[in-house]
Amino acid sequence: MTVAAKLEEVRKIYRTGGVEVHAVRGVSLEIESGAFLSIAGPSGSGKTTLLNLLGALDTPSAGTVRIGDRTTQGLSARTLADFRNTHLGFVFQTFNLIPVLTVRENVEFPLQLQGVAERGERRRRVDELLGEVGLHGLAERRPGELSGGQQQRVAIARALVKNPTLVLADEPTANIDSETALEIMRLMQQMNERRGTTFVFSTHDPLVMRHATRLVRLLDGQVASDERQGGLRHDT
Amino acid sequence: MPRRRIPLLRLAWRNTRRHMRRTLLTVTAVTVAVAALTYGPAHVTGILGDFLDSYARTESGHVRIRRDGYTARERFMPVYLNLPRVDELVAAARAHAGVEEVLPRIKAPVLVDGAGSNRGGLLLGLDLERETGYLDPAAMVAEGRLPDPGSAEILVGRLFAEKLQVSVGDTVVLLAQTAYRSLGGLSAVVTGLAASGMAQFDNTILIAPLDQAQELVDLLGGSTEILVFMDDPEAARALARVLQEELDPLVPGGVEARSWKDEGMLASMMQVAEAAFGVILFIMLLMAALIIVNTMLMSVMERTQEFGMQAALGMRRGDIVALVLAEGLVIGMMGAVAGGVLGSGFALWLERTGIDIQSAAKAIDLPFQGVMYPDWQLRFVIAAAALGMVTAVIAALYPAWRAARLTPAEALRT
Amino acid sequence: MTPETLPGRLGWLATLRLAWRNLRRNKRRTWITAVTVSLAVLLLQLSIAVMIGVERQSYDNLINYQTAHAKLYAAGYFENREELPLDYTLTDLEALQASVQQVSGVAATTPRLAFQASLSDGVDQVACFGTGIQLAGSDTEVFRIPQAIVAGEYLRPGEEGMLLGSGLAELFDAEVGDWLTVLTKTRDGAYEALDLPIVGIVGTGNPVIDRNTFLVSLETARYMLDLQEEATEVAVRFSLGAREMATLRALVERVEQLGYEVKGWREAEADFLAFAAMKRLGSVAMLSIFVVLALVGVTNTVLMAAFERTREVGMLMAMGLRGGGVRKLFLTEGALAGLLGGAVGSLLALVLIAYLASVGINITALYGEMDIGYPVKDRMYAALEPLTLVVVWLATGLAAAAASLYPAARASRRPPVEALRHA
Ligand SMILES: Nc1ncnc2c1ncn2[C@@H]1O[C@H](COP(=O)(O)OP(=O)(O)O)[C@@H](O)[C@H]1O
Ligand SMILES: [Mg+2]
Repeated sequence: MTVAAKLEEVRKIYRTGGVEVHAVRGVSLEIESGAFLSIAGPSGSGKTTLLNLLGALDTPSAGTVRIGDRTTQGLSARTLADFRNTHLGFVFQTFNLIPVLTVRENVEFPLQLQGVAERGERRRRVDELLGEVGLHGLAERRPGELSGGQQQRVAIARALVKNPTLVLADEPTANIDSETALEIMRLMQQMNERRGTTFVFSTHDPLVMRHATRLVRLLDGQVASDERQGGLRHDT
Repeated sequence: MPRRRIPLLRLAWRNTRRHMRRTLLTVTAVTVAVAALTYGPAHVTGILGDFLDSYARTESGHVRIRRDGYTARERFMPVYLNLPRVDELVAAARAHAGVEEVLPRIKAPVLVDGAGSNRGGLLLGLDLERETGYLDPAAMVAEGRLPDPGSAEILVGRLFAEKLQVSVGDTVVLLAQTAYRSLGGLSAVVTGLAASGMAQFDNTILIAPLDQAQELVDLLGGSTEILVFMDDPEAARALARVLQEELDPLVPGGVEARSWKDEGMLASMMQVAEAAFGVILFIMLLMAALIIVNTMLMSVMERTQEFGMQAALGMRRGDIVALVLAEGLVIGMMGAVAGGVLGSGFALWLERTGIDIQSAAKAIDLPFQGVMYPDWQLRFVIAAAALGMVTAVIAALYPAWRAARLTPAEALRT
Repeated sequence: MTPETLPGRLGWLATLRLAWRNLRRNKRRTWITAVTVSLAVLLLQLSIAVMIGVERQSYDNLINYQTAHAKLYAAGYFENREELPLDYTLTDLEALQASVQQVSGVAATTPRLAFQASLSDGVDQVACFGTGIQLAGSDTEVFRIPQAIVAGEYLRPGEEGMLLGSGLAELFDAEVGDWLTVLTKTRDGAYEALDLPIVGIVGTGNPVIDRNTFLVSLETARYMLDLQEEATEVAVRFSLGAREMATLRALVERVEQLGYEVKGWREAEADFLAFAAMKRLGSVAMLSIFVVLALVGVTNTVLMAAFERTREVGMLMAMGLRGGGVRKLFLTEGALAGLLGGAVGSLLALVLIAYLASVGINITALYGEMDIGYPVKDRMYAALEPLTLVVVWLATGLAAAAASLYPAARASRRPPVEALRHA
């Protein structure tokens, strides 16, 4: 079993106005390649913080975060940026698409950042992914013209387009209705199986966490439970 | 119904502090404009004032009385166009209220024979004592002393003396056309050298006691002009009119009394300066206003929900307009204070150090001293600050209108 | 690897596209900013064009009517030139002219005799400058006096008469055909008087000429001053396209060892150049205030844009865009806003400048007969220079980018986690 990411005794302390907030306190976790892992917990339990640490968006106050074969400690902002660029994909609760770019351009963006120079190559990969997430006809639309579910599909396509080691999705279904949420979960599941991409997503919705093959429950910044489970499927 | 009290300014102040950086930047625009509008008039008044002051003292007075027709032939400096029995005229002019001093002068082109060479110069016959503080010959004496009235003595421009190769104690011979167009001569002892700082002046000038000049040009008891200086130079035009009426019958051939404001060159210079300043002022304020509009539009749009909330809580449209205008006023006030301080500081600093325009001043034939000082006045600051604040409030009108146009429902939806 | 293919960076094209679209996202704000910039650019372009125009016109005027490109004097003359002394004259004129003529870049030469004189109409008398000019041949090859004749005509060779400055004519209320008495003093100090008819009136716009000068033939001047085949100066015109400084240097080399002095017009008119430089400085000081205002406008706009898009920037950084890329994005956005405003301002300026270049500004109407310091006649024309317009326009873009540095740096320094948390 290869390991996609590994946390060892990770702590994160925020200091704001003299008050210390211990957002994550001593979490150790090994995430195997190809996992479809859910981080569950109530609001404020540290899910976002943990995902940010896993996503090299932030560095821990103590402990180590290892993604693939690298730790994020002591890396410069620029190195972290490059690292995210090559290894990580992100999906957010609020989609965070670039409103002035079309759907195709949004998905193409990480490839441009990665330095995939050849336009035809970029096009091919983008169109392939748009097909996979079921947005074929909407390539020329702007994000503002799409529904929440559609926007989240674009975000997923964007996260996947560069074949990252790990996709981190922070409450990807929190801003959409429950029916669409299921569709999004199904899409992520498909991608996980078809491409073998490791997914870590956070949620506080019991229905959503049931899709995971491994469920890590957080409470007050600590792992409350870590269980493997079947992973709910909706086969069509 | 209870009186409604909305702490407008306090709310506005808090709101502008929400995005301090943005507010400060917007305030900067007002600051720059107000500073420029504070300094600008100080600068212009400084140069013009300095120039006018020096021009009035050396050349035009506040009202200048000469024989009718003199102005048209000014460049010839015709001694034959003169004012006889000048004491009567001086006394008449002196009788008016607001008159500070009345000085007769004789101006005559002369040919001067010095040690080695001869050359043309300009003779000024002055009431030497009274001229203190006006043409101020005493202050110009760089070497030697002033001539004594009643003796054939003369003060010579330093550069002029150099060219004539004469020094203090030497005797020079002056030749000039007399009031009767014959040739007059005077042999005078150089008692001192004059340095005014104005090259043009120091290059050509000879200063003699009035009586000696009268003798040279054969104009006993007369002069070629009378300069009237006033406590309030702004009242010069009115006095010129009165003196014209009053003195005209006293002199055969009539007189012309002109105020310094009617010196053609000065008038057009002021007009152009004022017009240019008007354009600059307008564009500067317009630019500042546009920057304010941009910022305030953003701040209003950001607060859409808040306005909806406030409207739902019973704040009226008028209140919202007033609130946004008050925010404009707060920005305007901050800019006005900062700009006023900045502009004044700059002006006052330059008032101490001066602006050196020596080299450039030589090219134009004006009585500039070479160093220029701005003239800061409180009213410039007040006017600039007021303009800045008014501009800011006007600029806030559009954002205020946008804010008021949002209905509560609309505002709360987004 | 081309820049386009470096990881973590956005290529120029992609940056441009993103910046441009972001500008279009808030059109009103972009336009307000652009108008702010355009006002400053309009003033800047106009001032530059008028300044260049009036300076060029002044230089042409000086060269055409007063200084030529350069003048040769006997040693010692230049230092005392304000006296118009007769003690340092050039004698071997033809040989000197022939020698100078061989210098490459020299188009023509002509001897002149400048002297002090008084003019009188029998009633009044005024001191002024007389100039003896060579009629048979060469003065018109160096100077352009015939162009400036406003009444009467130019002197014919051998004609005894004078060309009178228009200001002097006005002063004496004299017309073509009237006679004036010229009073001169010879080198030995004897006074001479000669009555001469006014053949033409010269109006150049240059106060030195118009208000102070009359021209006679070289022969008449020599007669009045009791001089032989002498002149006080040899004026030189350079050929069109000749390099001024190089020609001047060559000229100096040629004649200096012969004991003559050569002075280019720039040295002779150093006072005027200082005045022009001072005027320029004054304008720069004034314009810089507008430029500062425009830049504050750009900074403000980019600051607002960056603030509004904090989360978007966070996302870009999450995807791996480096800080430099974020900076580049906002700098480009500022630069584009500046270029847009610059284009509007420059186009407006172009229209006005084109008008002012062809129709001109009536300075007589503005200032009357006042000496405005520039020797320019009646109308002042702006210089229509496409290259200058374009350079100033592009500089606007650069300045706007510079004005965006602070907000761009701020946006790029914000940690992505924080940016993503932004409401
Ligand atoms: N940047 C921050 N500064 C201060 N406190 C923070 C910051 N980010 C998160 N926190 C605090 O850390 C705790 C965990 O937050 P978070 O990871 O966002 O939880 P979740 O995503 O599970 O809701 C919360 O108490 C939150 O207020
Ligand atoms: Mg969260």
